Amino acid sequence: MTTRRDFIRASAVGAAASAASMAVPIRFAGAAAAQPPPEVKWSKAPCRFCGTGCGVQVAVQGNRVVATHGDPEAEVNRGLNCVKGYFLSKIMYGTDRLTTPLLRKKDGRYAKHGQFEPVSWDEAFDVMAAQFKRVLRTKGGAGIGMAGSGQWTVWEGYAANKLMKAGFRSNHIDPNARHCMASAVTGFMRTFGMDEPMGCYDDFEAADAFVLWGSNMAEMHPILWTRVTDRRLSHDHVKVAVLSTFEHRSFDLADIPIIFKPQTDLAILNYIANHIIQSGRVNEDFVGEHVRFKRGNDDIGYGLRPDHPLELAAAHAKDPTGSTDIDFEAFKAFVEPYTLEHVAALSGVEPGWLEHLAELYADPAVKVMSLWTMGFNQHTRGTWANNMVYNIHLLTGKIATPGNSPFSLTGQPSACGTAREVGTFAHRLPADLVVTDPEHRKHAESIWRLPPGLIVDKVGYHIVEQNRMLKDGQLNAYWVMANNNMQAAANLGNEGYPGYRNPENFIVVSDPYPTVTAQAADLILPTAMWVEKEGAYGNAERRTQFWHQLVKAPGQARSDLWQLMEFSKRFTTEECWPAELLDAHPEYRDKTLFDVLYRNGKVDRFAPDQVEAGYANDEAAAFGFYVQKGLFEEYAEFGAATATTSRRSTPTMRRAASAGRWWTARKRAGATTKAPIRT
Amino acid sequence: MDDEIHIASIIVRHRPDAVASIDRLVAAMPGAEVATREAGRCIVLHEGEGTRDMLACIEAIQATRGVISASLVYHHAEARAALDDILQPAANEDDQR
Repeated sequence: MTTRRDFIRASAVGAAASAASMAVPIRFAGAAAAQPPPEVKWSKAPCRFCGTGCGVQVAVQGNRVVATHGDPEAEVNRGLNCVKGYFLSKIMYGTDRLTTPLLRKKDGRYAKHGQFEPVSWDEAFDVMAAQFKRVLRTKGGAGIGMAGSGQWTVWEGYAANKLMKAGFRSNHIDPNARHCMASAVTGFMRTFGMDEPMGCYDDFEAADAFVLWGSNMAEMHPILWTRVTDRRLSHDHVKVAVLSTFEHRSFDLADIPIIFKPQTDLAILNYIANHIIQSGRVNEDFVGEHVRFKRGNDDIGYGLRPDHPLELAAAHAKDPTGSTDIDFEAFKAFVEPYTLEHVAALSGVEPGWLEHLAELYADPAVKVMSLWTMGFNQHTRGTWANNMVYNIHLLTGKIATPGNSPFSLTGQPSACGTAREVGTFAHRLPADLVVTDPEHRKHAESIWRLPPGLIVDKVGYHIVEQNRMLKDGQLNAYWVMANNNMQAAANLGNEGYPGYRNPENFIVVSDPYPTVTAQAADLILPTAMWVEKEGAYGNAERRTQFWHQLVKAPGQARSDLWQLMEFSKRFTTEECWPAELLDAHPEYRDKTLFDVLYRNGKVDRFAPDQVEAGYANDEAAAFGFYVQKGLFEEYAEFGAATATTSRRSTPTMRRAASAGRWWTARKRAGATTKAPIRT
Repeated sequence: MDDEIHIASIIVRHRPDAVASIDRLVAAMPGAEVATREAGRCIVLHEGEGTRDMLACIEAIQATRGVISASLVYHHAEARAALDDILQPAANEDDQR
């Protein structure tokens, strides 16, 4: 006889054995063959916790997630899960989960200094809309802002971007991904003119060497680390180099362990470039065909307020990404002082290790994967660090071929898929378009079926600037979704908290839990999370993964998507757009933002019965159309429209439309290497 | 659902000389056993009362000298009272293999 316990234990061992290609031991084989409990339904979803994007199988029993395991058919994780995955079945069921809107009130009315009291969605949105309209009347969209996240689903980010940039005509929308990925993105844009890695996870099984530049993959990306480990332990010639300012768990696998003095990684990168040149291993064909040399501005300041003494003293604080053309000879002369002896002395690293490291890149027979996370991306000179690792890959032509892959790993599950590709940044539109380019604005307005001239041409406040502007009283109505910025952002005491509590401001935070950010708000909206809604995330290798709604959110909790769209019904175009624009395009009069943004004949064109049978979809039920599909198909037009748009102006659109997506960078002309800058 | 038992499986990758220390660790940990092993890896099955037990188990394995990775694969939370229910045998066991 088989008990439920026997069955679960056997299933656990069976799943692990299958993931590791091991035989199921005989003592578990019998129980595994029992009939599974019929009330449990298994479905697929990507993990919600990090940028790796592991596929998991999720078991639901009675509107509750009861079990998860790594999906053996998922190409990312091949059946494995990491300790974060353990929390997938716990994260939705904390005892402090928010289940009703909470508004600060005193004597029965909203008060900035009141105490949080439960309110209905109607009351919450009434007060919130009144506050947003107060700001609209005095400042227009310029006084409205939004902080989003790489944890938004693709369509939540897309709907938010439209609501802000087209609905409220405000570009002050920016994701928390700015904190972690700004250097990575700027590194990509400066070097390649387009965002996101050119490689993919299949590079792990093709590489001969792995170099970790400021990434502790063993603990932070354990599943990808498993693939590095498998490659290293099953192939004797494979080498792993780990660089860090302190020793961590990834060093357990290191053949070349390097602890360097902080900031000297920049000098080490210049040394490697110098070593490649001096030892005659520049790939001249590749460089001649694809590489242009530039010298970036130095003395660029620190991104502080413009009147900070450090910014005033910095020569290029206003043009940190500026550069001038140079040639290979000038680049060669620039890196020449970075000799082995000089850099060993600077960095405190044994010269022998530095030489081994440089040879991994210089030896044309070795395929190298460079991997980094916050060691580069939150570096004081993070953009330079990104540019400089591309330098050594471009000098040797070790880029965008299987196993040769400079790879910026992401932290959030949809930092690539939502924050970057959807363009929920203060300067961006979907598919790498920017608000400052008139052609790009026109293109977005056309896809969105909105009047030309609607989108504002000025870059909005980025997420750090948003806190400053809240404090200064420039930004007065502010909506925070899917992030905990009071916890995460720098300068909490001087800017974050004073900004949120500035009496001129109304702060709304949508979250599943009472985070410190939520507690600093005036209105808290309870949010549905992960499989409580239909979703899509794009991972670090740009794989877009979809999931169905599997359970209902608790109490009154609603998805961010529902919140954005439902709130948009409370605004008319007259309240948000200038009179001249409506005079010129009277067909947009007497409509709500919901009408023009979401009931626009595109987003609403799929009926709710197109939702896959057997799965709920609360948003389709609420709005009467298949919201997620409509938003995604409209978004996809930014990729489909490439044939008519110039390559120069819309790089990501081209890439999204191209079938051979993974290996496109190699064929791109005009890739640029930045001359590194003095450390 | 408060009184739950958590059952999980973990794939451990390790250097060949770590077998003895992994065995010592698992023997000292209530609810844990090595379900099966091959050269350089094994599957640890863990049954415990909740998050803390489970995380302590993974952390202890990871901290063991010679262990390169400990990856969670399967995790199930079940009401304690339901665990001893009898399941029907499959109609045709061959179909389940």
